[in-house]
Amino acid sequence: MSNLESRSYLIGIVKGLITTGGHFFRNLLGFGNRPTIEYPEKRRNYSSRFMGVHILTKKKSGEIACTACMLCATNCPAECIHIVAAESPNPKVEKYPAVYEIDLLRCVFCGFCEEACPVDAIRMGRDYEVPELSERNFVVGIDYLMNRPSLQNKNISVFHEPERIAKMPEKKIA
Amino acid sequence: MAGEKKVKITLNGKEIEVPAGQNLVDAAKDNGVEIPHYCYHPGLSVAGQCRMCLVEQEGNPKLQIACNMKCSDNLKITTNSEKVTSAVQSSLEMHLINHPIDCPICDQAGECGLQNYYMKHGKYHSEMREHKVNKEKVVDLGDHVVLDKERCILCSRCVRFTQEVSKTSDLGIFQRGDRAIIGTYNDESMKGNYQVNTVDICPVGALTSKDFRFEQRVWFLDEAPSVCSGCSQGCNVSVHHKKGKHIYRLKPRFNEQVNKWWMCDKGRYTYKESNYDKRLSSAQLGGIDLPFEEAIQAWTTDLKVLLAMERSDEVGVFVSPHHTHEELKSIIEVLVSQFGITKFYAEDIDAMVKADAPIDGFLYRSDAYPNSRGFLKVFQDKKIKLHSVNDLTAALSKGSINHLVMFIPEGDRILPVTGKIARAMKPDTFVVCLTPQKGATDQFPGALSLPSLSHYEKTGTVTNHMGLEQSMMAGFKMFKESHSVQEILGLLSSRYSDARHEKGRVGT
Repeated sequence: MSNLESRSYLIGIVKGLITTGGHFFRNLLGFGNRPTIEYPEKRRNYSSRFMGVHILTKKKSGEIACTACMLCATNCPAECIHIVAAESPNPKVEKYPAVYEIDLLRCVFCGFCEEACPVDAIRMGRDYEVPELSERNFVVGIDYLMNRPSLQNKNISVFHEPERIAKMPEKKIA
Repeated sequence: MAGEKKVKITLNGKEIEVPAGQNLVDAAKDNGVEIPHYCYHPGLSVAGQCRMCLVEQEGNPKLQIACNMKCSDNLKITTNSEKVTSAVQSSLEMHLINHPIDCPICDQAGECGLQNYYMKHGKYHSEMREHKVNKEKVVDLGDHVVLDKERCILCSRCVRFTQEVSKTSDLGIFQRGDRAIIGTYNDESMKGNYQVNTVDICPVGALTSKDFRFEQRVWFLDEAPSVCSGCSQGCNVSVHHKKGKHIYRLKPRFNEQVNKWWMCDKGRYTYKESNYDKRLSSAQLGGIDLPFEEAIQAWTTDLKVLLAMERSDEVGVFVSPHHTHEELKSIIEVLVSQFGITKFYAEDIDAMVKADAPIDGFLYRSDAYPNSRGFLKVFQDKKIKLHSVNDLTAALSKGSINHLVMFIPEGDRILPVTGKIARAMKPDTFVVCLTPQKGATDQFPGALSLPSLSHYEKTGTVTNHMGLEQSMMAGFKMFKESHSVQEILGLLSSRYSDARHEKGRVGT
């Protein structure tokens, strides 16, 4: 009997088609939770801790907030950050990054750069769609990291907007 | 200090034996006890400005500064008591009152005295409510040094250096109290050939080097012990490089007999000639890159033809005293012993050595080669006559030399000489240049050039003006294709004997 059942493979096929068909019609007619979404039109809500393409923040004047201290590059486990420091054209600022490049293909999006930064100059952003045709285009510079349209010019470093820092209760000196 | 009188002192309850009269900070350091200090420097006089080296002396109710204490019998010192620790913490707090703590943009970060001691002796809670006093930042002090008056902790090391060692008396402390600043009179530039030493001895980031400014964070740098190539003094240096691919700076290394703690600015910048951007990175024939193996093969073939016809006297070798002893040994072993070449040419090194004298009365000397004495000695010992450059140009224009091996060091100082040789040369002369320098072979249009190691990549021995043999242990290589002279000549020698014994075998 069991021999016959295993040989009559049509039963198995029908069982499988019932499962597939069940999913097909459920998705088609919209019963229950669909596992897929209509991607470009609809998007998932990512966690607020999601770490996407980095953001370089600015001062209120629009200058880059980064001081080129290279702590992010020091902390980076993937060694994907390349900084060339230089004397700033602004006489009030001593040091600034003439070149700040992140190789997005090397980056592991761990967020260590954000943790290392003493002036909130680099943050992990929320962008995750970075299609490019050539590998070299994944090495992104200051222009993309600080001024890409999706940031809407809102990337002001909290270091330069102190009113946004929540006040901590003053520590008493023992 | 061997043979001097020893005394017994008690340091933190442990009895130790130290030379009589040795400074307590140094004596403690030699015995593994670190007494924190900013203003004390073994090469300078004692100032007692920073009050960081406070220690407890038995029989003395008040804390004493260790830098002003000489070791004598029955001195009993405690450096780790509660009283000392809190005094050191308070001293450091005072130093930090007006310090801007701009470590992210400070070049000293990573090798800064304030950072190091803050981690060990920091108070971590500032008791200051006042605003910090703002002072001038980025003050230009001439060609080599940038001053930041805010970061200065007024240890006066630089002031004492310019007064006692370089004797230029450039720097001074002006004004009083929390307005006291380091500066030059009338904001003049610093003078002399020893300015960057003030940057080395500055325990904080107040004086920074223009050449190294913002170039690299110091924690990325590796150190390699070497000897300066600038002159016959042979100052001990450490080469600061990043992964062996880029040299960023030279720092003096302590040597009691040669340079103590110092070196001159001219020597300090000699690394630029060795750096990656000035270097020949692959073998070339007439300016076109070719694999190293093929270049060696081409050299071997030409040499073999000449030597087979017993025309070894048509081979000339141009050498210069930038070689280490090891390189000279391999030159003599291969070119003289194996190939029987006798015609060696060089600049008039004998006259250079005889005229060698200190230029500014301190370290910098007129003989621009690091190994002139060792070079002469090797050739005298082997009884090989060194002919002059004029002999070489005469022989070249006569056509009596058809195969010329040139060892060209890095740097511009040799270029007039090689230019003279190039002009005298007939176009069909076969020239092999072993050089680390990119531009050196431009003068020899059809030459075969082999990339050799630059001075700061070499491992070897050089002899300085007083006959002291000093070893360099660099141990890094910027280009895969460049090889030391020993390696190149060894390869030549093995190719030569291979080609002689096994006919038809070409390359590897």
